[in-house]
Parts: sequence; structure tokens; C-alpha cells
Amino acid sequence: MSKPSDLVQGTLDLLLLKILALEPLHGWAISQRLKQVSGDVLQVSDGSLYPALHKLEQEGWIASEWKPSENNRRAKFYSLTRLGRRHLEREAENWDRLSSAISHVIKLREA
Amino acid sequence: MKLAHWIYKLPLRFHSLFHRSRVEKELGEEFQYHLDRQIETLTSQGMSPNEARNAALRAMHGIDSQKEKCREARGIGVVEELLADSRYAVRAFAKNPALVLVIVCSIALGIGANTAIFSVINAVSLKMLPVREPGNLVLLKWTSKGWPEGIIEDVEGGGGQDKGGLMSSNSFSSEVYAELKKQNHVFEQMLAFAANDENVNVELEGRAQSAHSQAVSGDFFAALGVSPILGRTMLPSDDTPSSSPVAIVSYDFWRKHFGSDTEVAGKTITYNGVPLSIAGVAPPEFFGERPGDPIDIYIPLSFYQTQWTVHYPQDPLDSPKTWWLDIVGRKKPGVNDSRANAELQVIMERVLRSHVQKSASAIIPTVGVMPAGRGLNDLRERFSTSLLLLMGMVALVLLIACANVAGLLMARASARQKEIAVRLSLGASRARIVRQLLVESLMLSAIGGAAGLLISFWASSALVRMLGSGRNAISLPTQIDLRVLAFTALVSILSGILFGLIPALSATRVNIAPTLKDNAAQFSTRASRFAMGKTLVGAQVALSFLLLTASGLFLRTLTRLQNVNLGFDRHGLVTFEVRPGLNGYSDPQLIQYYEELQRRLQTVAGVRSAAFAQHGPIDSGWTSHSPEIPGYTSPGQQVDMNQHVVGPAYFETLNVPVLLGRAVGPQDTETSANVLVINETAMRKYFHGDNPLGKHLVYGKHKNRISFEIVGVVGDVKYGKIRDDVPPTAYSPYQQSKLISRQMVYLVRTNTDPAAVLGSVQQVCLALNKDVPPIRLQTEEDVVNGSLFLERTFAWLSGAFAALALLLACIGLYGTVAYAVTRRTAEIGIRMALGAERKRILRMIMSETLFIVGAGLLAGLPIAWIAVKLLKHQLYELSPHDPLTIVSCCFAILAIALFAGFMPARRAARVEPIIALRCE
Repeated sequence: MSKPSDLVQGTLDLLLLKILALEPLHGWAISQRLKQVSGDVLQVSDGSLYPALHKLEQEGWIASEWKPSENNRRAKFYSLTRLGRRHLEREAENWDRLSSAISHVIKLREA
Repeated sequence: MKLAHWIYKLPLRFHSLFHRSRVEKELGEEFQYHLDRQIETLTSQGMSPNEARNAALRAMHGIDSQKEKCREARGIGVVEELLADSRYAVRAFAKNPALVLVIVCSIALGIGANTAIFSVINAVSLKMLPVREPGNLVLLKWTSKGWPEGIIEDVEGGGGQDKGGLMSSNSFSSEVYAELKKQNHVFEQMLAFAANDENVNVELEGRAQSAHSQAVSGDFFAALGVSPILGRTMLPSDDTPSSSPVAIVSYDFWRKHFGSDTEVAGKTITYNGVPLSIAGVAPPEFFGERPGDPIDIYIPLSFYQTQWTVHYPQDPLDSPKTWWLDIVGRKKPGVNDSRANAELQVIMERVLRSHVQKSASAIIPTVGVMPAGRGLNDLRERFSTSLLLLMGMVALVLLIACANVAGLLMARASARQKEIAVRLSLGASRARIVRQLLVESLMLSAIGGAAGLLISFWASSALVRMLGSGRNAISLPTQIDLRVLAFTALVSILSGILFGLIPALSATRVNIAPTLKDNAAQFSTRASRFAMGKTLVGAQVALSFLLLTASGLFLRTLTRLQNVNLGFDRHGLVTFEVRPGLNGYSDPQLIQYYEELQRRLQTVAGVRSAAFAQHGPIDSGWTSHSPEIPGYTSPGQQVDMNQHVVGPAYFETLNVPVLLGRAVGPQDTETSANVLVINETAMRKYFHGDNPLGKHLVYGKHKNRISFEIVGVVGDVKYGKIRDDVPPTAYSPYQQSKLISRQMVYLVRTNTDPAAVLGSVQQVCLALNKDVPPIRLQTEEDVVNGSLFLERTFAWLSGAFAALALLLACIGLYGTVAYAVTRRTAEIGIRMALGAERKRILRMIMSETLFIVGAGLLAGLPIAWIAVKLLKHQLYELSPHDPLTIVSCCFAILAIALFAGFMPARRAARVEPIIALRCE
């Protein structure tokens, strides 16, 4: 069985920002959403999610707030900041450029 | 964007740092929430609670390491580690307080010396004047190729001519000042002050003293932005011929002479016999515009002019040809120097052209501005070389201290070898341990730096006191300002890195396995580390040799200068100066005053004779003339002759031998024949062995020629610097000068201790006229010593630095040899058990010491050989490669170093073989 490809460096950040752009979520919900949207292709361990979130928060791209969750327990919700939204737009553009360039190269027919 | 991002991020970082416990709690809660939800989900899918828990934990990939990554992501890891490192360092220090004390003392002495010298340099040449926006101030100067004939007749104050014949001065005429002020568009404000600052006679409440006075324009204080702390400032309305004269006194003068009287405004002082009312007191930090040369009293220019006219009616100051004013301008914002120069030049040319008829051939001076924000005097040029040399010396001392501390730390690091090996084997990175050791050394250097700052408070004030002695005393305020603090901090950090990095790098370069195995089979690493220690000690020996040689040269220069034959007997001689001319005495009054004072002084108990002259010997001024010597010079050819004006009994009082003919006596008056006495050098140089008696010197040109007959030859006397050769000199009777000198230096020969008659001399002077105080009343020995103050300061400081360096090097040597002995205890034990004598062991250890010292000396010799050439100009009749100095310094170092090495060597020789072998 082939190992799922590791996440491209920085891609996780992009994914997290995109997920949070839709709605504020707490860590566990984010991990569920990740599994749901990417299936088995992108495997993110539950553990490595948190350092990434803390890094994004430290950069000021997302903000956190403690509030009651759906099961009425206190949970830490993350939301996208204005700064983060701008960053996301830029990164998404970069990603588009990069991926289209790569797929263009891949699709080159051998001479 | 980048900056905005940081502004946003910074509070988050601080939040993480300062609310650590809350952040930590929240981190735990966040992870717990995730786990609980995950377990919940998994159990609802049918797993057993235990299985679910394990699965959830597995998915976390190590909850603790993830938490750690979170902490790292929050950027508090480094700070936390540094805090942990410093806590660890403090614990390590507590275990070894003696070592810490030695290290801190070494570093404190090194940094203290550096800070002290730097704070003096700062005060002399870096600090800005304590006025408003000093950076915008410029001083005007002019330069001219050749004398501006028809434009300038008299230049007051400083001026000079460089080697290319370019004349320059800072003095301008009243007219130029007025026109520049009226017409320029480049300055916000302009102010002026008299180029000559003067010593004046001031009487306060019945006591007369000398004070340092400066005449300034009425807007001087306002333009500089200096406001008085008491009373009112000087106003332009005070600076008019009709206004009643006022003065601003300095803070120090006010404190010293008015006892900080807050009601001082409006009080009257007598200034050269003229009453003057005090308007206000300048703030304490304002010392005038020349650092090191503080002013006591500021008077308006108009008052100065009135006084001047009384004394020198022939050179009126308002004449456009008398250039006597220094001008300072405050540049408008955005005006650069070249624009200011151009505009000032246009105005000045227009003004000056009107004075010369044949404008084509006239030499018009070129005006220029120079920065004035740091003060206006030559203090910088006078002392900068000396101060830089001293700075170099203290830097060497600090370098030695660093090498020393590095050696000590290295020895300690090898004691901690096992600890370091354990940490490395547990997975600490080398960088991590180097950082830990660096934190330790930086903490040590920080403590050392703080202690050094305390030392420098004391040292720099001692240094300033030393500089403040002597005739040309300079007084400097050396507050510790931000620049000095920054310097100390920088030096501390640099030395901490310097002495910390070498041991840290070498300590972490270990082979873990054998080290952990205990102390066998590790000779390779230790031997190389020991070689490093030896090199450090050798370097210390080399550098202290350099310092010792320098101080030896300075010391020999000083003793040579002290023993130079000055041509007169300096012992049992009192000297002082009086300036009755300032109080408006006429010529007959002056003659009467001078002779009466001489007569009264001779009646003082303990006084053998008294005499006066325009200048006394050593460190005083002189006048130079160019007479012709009929029969010896071709017509029109002139010779250089220093000229002194003396009263009767002068040579007798100084104990100067009369070699031929007679001395100047009471018979030489205004009406008697013009006579001269020349010195031996003049006779040798200009009369080629002939008897000069009866020959003439002719002064002046055309119809102003005056002829003087030579009636005597006296021995050579030094007047200027002790270092200088005696020039050809002629002495003339004071009454035969065109103008009787306004001031005289008195010399009083005593039978007893000269210091004992100082009081009675003062009384005699004040009894004669209480408004004419004796100035610089002191023994001639003090004058001579004072003139050597720079040399003495150098000899003193360099000696202290060399001693310090030597002490440090000895500590280093002692430590290294002691360490070597400990390391080889087992070896020594075996040798002795096998029959080696104690003497042999002693010789073995001592030869090792000798090797280190010898290598240090060998390295030091060429360095010193080159470096001492820098001292050439500070030495007197001494080659920088003076063999006696170099050889004796070599021996001194050898002797002291061998002594330092002998103590541990003797201990090694006393090792009991049995105990030594058990040690293993």
C-alpha cells in the first residue's frame, strides 16, 4: 500500500485558513472538517494540527476565543482575521499559479 | 505592511510570555477537549472506552511533543530557555564563588579602566555643548594666502599659518560682524564673543581674586538658548556703550564666591577696579564654549571695549582693521555649509573692498564655517593623541583580562567535562551547550561591566583631577551619559563573548564515550585543551610585556625631564603674577608699584631676595624679536632672539650665573643708556667665540632703530617647555621697554621652606593694593612639576596599567601551572616512586613555565618593537627601542612570572608518591 503523500509544506496553513474562512471552528471540528473534505488523500494527524493553529494565531492571521461549543463545553474557537483573509487570498492565488504551472508541465506530451 | 504585521504580532508574543501560566492552562484544556470529543465519537461508533482512548491518543502523535511544538510556535521557547540557562548559571556560580569573584574583578578592572578613559574622551571630543540644538551652530573662520595688507592690522586671539603659508584665524572685525548680521540669509541667529578670554582681577566683599572672564555679545545667551537659573539673562540693551555694565556669573563661581546666595542678582563686584552689577547666574552645565576651560564671568562686549580703550588706546576695537571677534551662527534649517560659505563670502568681500584702493592687488580673506556644536577649542588636538594611546593601553589590559578569564573558564570547563558529556549524550545539541556556557560568561561580563562602571566613576574623576593640575589646567565635567553607558554595555558584551566562546567551543568538542568512562584515556582532548591554555597565558605575557615596556619608557622620560638642568635653582623659590595694569595704572605708577612690591617682599621673614620679570621660567610665554648685530650680520640680515624684560636682582634671585660682565641692575633706568644681557647660547651662536661685551644689538627698521649695548652674558635658562632647547635670548631692563609691562611675574628666593612664605607673600601683595591680587601663587617646584603633568599622568597611568596586566598574567600563569600539576599528579607520583628526585620534578615543572613565559616574551618582543614606535613623540631624549628599558622589562617579566609559576611547582615537588597514586 502506498503511503499517502505528505502535505506540501505550507499547504496545511492554506487549508486551515480556507476552512476557517467559512466559519469559526474549534480544533476538533477543524480536524473532522479536514478529514471530510480531503478524505484519505491528505492525512493530517490530530496532533500536528495544533502547532499549526498556534503558529497561525501567532502570525495574527487567525484569532481565538473561548466560548461554549455545541455540547455546551468551553472550547477554543478559531476565526479568520482581516489580515488572515488578505493572506489567504494571496496564498490561494499563488497556489493556483503554482498548481496550474505544474499540471501544465505534467501534461506535456513526450516528443 | 511588514511593520503593521509586527505591531499586530508583538502583543501576542508578550501575551504568551507574560501570561505563561494561563497560556499553559489553556493549552492543556484545548487538547483535553479534543481528546474527549474524539473518545466520545469513537465510543459512539462502538469502540470500548479503553480502545477509544488509546486510538485518540495515538492519533495525536505524542501529546507532549505536540504541546511543546505549540509553545515553540508561540515563540516563547528561546526566552524560556535563556531564563532556564541563567537560572542554571546562577546555580553553577554559587558552587564556585571564589572563581566568580576573581573573574568579575578582572573584568571589572578592565572595563572600569576602559570606561574611565572613554568618558574623558567623550567629554573632550564627543559631547555636544549643553545648548539648544548644538548641531546647527557653526563658528566662522577666515583663511588667506598671505597677509591681507590694508584690511587687517591687528588679529587678536588665536591665528596661525600652516606649512603652505595659508593664514587662518577665527577673529573678525566689528564691522564685518555687524554687516554679516545685517545682510545674511543663512543664519537664524548670530552671536559674537571676544577672541581673547582674559584673567581679570575681581574684588568681592573686600577680597580680591583672579577670575576667568569672557566678553560676549548681548544676544549670546539668547542665541545659544541658555537661560540663567537666577536673575535675568544678558540682553542686547546691556551691550551698548551707554548701558550700565552688568555681568552673568557661572554657577561654580556663584557657589564658590557667593555661597549659593539666591539674592545675588543686583550685587556689585569690582572688575579690574570698575564696579559691575551681577544680572544673573548661568546654569550649572554651561561652561562657556570651550570644553575644559570654564568661564567665571561673562561681560558685555561694550564694557570690554571701554576697558580695552583705557589700556590700549592705540588699537581701538571699533576700527575695521582690528580683528578681535569670534562669530558663531545658528544655521537655518536646510542651509548647508557651502551655501553659507558662498553667501558670507559675498557680503564680506563687499565690505572689505571698500577699504582698499587698488582693489586688484588686494588680498581678501576667504570666509568659511566650521561645526561648533562640540565646542571651539584645541583641547581635542592637544589631548587626542594622548587619550588614544591611553585608550589603546586600557584596551590591551582588557584583552589580557579576557584571556585570563578564558583560561580560568577553560580550567573550570574541564572540571565540568563529565556534566557536559552527559548532556551531550542525552541528546543536547552542541549549539545548545555552547549557548548555555555563553549565557554564563555573558552574565559574568555583565556583572563585571556593572562593577566596572562603578570603578570608572572613581577612576574618571581621579583622571580629571590629574588633568586639572598644572598651569594649563583643564576642568571637564565627566558625567556618565548615555554614550558612555552604551560603550560600557558594548564592551561588556564583546568581552563576554570573547572570553566565553573559546572555552565553550573547546569544552563541547569532546569525545563522549571515553569521557563518560572516567578519567582514563582522555589525554588527547585534554592535552590540546591544555595547549590552548598555555597559548592564552603566553599571549598575556606578550601583551603585558608590551605594556610594561611602554610604561618603562614613560617613566624614564619623566625622570629625564625631572632632572633636566633648567639653568636656575628651582628649589626654595616662590612665584606669582600681578596685573596692576588691569586696574589702570600709568607707567610711573607701575614702576613705583613694581619696585615697592619688590622692596616689601624682601623684608618678609625667610625671604633672601625678590625680583620680577615679564615672564617667569618654565611653561610661560616669551616675545621673539629679530635684531641685527652690527659686525656679525650683513646689513638687513636679522637673527632670531627671544626677548625678556627683567627687573633688578633677577639673575641673583634665580641663581643664574653671570658669566661675563654684569647683570641687569637698579642703575638701568629709562634715562640711562640702553643695555642688554644675553645668554650663553646667543653668545655661542651669534658671536662665534668672540667676547660680546660692548657689542650692540639693533632693533627696528629705518628711523625707529634702537641700539642696545651688551653688558653681560648669563647662563641659559629654560622658559617654555622643559623638552625644548634654550633659544638665543636677550634680557633688557624693564624700564627701557617702549611700554612698561602691565603685568609682572615675581620670583621670591627663600631661606626656608618656600611653601611656608606663601601666606605672607599674599598678605604683602594685598596690603599694597587690595585690588591687585597675586595670581598663581605657588612654589617654582610646583610650576615645574605642573608643566610635566601630562608626562606624569602618562607614567602613572601606564605604570598602573602595566602592573594590572602583569598581575592578571601572573594569575593566569599560576592557574595554568597549578592545573597542569593537578593533571599530572599521578604521573609525578609514578616518577617519584621510580626514584625521581624532588629537584628533578621541580625542574621539570619550572622548565614548562619557563617555556610558556619565554614563548610569550618571544612573541611580545616584535609586537612591542613595532608598537612602541607610536610613542616616539611622547618620549624625551630616549629611543623607543631603548635597550636598557627593554632588557630590564624582559627580566622583570621573567622574574615575576617565574615566581608565579614557582609556587605550584613547589607543591608538585612535595607530592607524596603514595597519595598521588591513590588519587587515581
